[in-house]
Amino acid sequence: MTRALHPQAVPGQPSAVRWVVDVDLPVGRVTAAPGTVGPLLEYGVLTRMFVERGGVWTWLAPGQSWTEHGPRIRDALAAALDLPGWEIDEKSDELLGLVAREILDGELAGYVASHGGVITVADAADDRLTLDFGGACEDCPAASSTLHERIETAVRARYPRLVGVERVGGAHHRPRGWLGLPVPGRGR
Amino acid sequence: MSHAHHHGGGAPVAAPTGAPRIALVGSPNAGKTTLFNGLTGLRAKTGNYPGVTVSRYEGRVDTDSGPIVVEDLPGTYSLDPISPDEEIVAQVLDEAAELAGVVVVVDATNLRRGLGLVAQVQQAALPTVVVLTFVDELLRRGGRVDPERLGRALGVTVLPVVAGERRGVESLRRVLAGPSLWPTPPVLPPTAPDEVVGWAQSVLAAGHFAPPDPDSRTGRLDGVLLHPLWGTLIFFATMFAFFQTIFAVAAPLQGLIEEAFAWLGELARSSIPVEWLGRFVADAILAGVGGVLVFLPQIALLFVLISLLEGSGYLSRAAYLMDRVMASAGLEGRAFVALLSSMACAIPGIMATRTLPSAKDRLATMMAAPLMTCSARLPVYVLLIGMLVPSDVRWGPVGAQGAIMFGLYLLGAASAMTSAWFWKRIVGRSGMGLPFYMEMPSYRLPRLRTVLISVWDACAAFLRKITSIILVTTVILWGLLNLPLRGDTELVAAGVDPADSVAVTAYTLDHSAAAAVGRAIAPVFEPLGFDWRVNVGVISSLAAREVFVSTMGQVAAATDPENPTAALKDMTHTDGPRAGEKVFTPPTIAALLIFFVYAMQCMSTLAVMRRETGTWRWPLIAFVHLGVVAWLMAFLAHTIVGVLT
Repeated sequence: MTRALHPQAVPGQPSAVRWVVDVDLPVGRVTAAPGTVGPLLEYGVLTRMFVERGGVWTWLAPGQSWTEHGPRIRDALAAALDLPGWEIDEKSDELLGLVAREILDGELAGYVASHGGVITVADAADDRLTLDFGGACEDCPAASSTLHERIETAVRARYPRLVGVERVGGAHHRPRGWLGLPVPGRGR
Repeated sequence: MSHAHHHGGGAPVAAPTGAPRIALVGSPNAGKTTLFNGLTGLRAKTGNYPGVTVSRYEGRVDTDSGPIVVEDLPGTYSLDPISPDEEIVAQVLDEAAELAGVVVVVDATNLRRGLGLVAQVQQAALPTVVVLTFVDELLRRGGRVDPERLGRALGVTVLPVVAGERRGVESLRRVLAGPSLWPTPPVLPPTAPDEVVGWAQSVLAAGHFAPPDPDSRTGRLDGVLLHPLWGTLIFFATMFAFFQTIFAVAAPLQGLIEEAFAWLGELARSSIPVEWLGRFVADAILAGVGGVLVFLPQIALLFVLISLLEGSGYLSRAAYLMDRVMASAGLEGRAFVALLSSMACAIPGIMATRTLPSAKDRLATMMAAPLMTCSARLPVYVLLIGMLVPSDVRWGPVGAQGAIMFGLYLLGAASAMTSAWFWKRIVGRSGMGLPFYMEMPSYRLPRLRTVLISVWDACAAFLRKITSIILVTTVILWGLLNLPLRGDTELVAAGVDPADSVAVTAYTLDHSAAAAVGRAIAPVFEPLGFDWRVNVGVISSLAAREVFVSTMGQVAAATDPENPTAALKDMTHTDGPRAGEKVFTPPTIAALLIFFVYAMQCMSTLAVMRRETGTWRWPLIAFVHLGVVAWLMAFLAHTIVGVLT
């Protein structure tokens, strides 16, 4: 049984590929890996590697092309994921930022844009995420509830250590939802 | 040539040289050709029959950044070059340098399999866009997909396009403007089959894909329509009803056209001052060519039915039913599908054999295709059946004319099957049975536009044929039947009154070059009851079957311009042992009908056969053996009907 996995490009980072795959490993930065991934990492063909819930991030050394090395790395990764011997630093603010950006530019991009908003990652530190709610989001009461909740849920699903999401220039907004103004798209 | 006969085949548009080329790839039934039509405005028929898009089609699309050329490649489930069709697609993608990009059309209700094709196409490392069709049906049947997520997972743009909706086609047109800007996946999909499965599974999950429930309507209908007994009965009942309608609905229309042409003929005769010219216009053009034209309503009806059956998804079921029958004779389903398209015309049928992986099966099917009742036989059948039984004769609740027509179609189909089986034995068994994959599309309401395009194309092809090969042959025949013009001296010497135009015509006909030919071959057809005029008709029909009708029309109009139909019925043998007897007796008509079931009277078919086999040997064999079979079967029919009546 071969593993179900596929690659996704990382916008703005041509040397990075995020492999979408079910993984049973701790989430964080990989320092050592089993199988053929080990040497790839050790000798710098892969310069960086992260594991998230549902994916693996890999960076290829400068000057190398994914078109050329991609298939080999895919095979190596697929085989290594089932082997013991992974060493992973379980806390990574870099990974948190990557995941958050990926979610905001990816699965939630359409939703945010449809509300006329622009959300960027301002900071990721100590497992906390600080977001810059721009555009229409700024004054939208729903921004602090619906959107906030959705982002937090999505990021936590892939980076379980997430403590909380905050907004630039403000304290942590508590979701208001049904207690405050009626939120579009919800009953009541 | 192939384009003219490829029903639905638009004329190829001269592509602007240097314009970027984009290939359209997709499995049969994915809606690729509909999309192509929508993009290019070119007409090409849709359907999952091999043969519908076998030849190379390309069309021009104007985009914001200038014109591009879109090439519609044959429908294919994979790029493994098993059959010639798949080979074509693989080859075009191999010559990647000539392509600016590829559009893969994928049926959303069959996404898993479609991704296999996407993975193969992406190996060409060309800019790729995936068009997702039938998303509406996927949702209706409880499935779901998120095209945006799917696009991210695939690393390419995924565009949902509902067939026939301008909006989707327009957004595709915008995308087509810049293939160089299309996103590409960072790493190409794997190639090993099990890895592809894993890749597709992962992509589907990321695209939030849920497969559709089996279509309950389709399931229930198939329970009945694919039932070995009930399904078969319903199939035959459907066909039977159709041939009844051909006579019931089309006959009045045909009568109107006939009257119009008779009136025009009279007008030509009386108003054109040059006597021979008047007769030429009236007899050759109006009676001859017009005589064929009157069958336009039947042709149109035939294609209304075919495209309704095809568009609703029923034709695949019919093929499936027949496949089970034919499997016992060692024939594979693809062969039947090729034969089915021969019901329109043998030419697309022969070209459809390209989907057959085995060369031996291809040959056997090619030999059988001309036996399927093509639309060119329809005018001949209608004319002859009309003379055989009056329209008011009924056998119980059914009209006799329609029943006979049905029988002839059945005979054609059965003969084609027998022939395919026979030739398969002769050319040897094919090595291994390759898997036959035929898709059962869900039942869908046929699109009016598709039906209309199909009918229009068929009528246009018929009209083109009338104004080209049929017109030319008819004019040549008129010359052979009427030249040289006889001088009064000769007429008087022969005892004919130059003032009696009917007698003059009869004399001219009787001493024409065509008559000489017809008489020369009389011994061959004498046992079938044909006289020299029928012989001339049969010989001239070697160019195209419909010419038989135009020849008989000319002869009849020359005899009695007032009432050509009656003249034809009352035509008598002018000489020989049967002199004075009627020509069109039931045995003779039966013999003629059967002759037309079997004889290989179509030069275009022979030419295509030559092209597809690469040698004249097979067309020659087909021509000769079908001629012999036609004569023998006609003789049999003549004898049997002679005994019965």
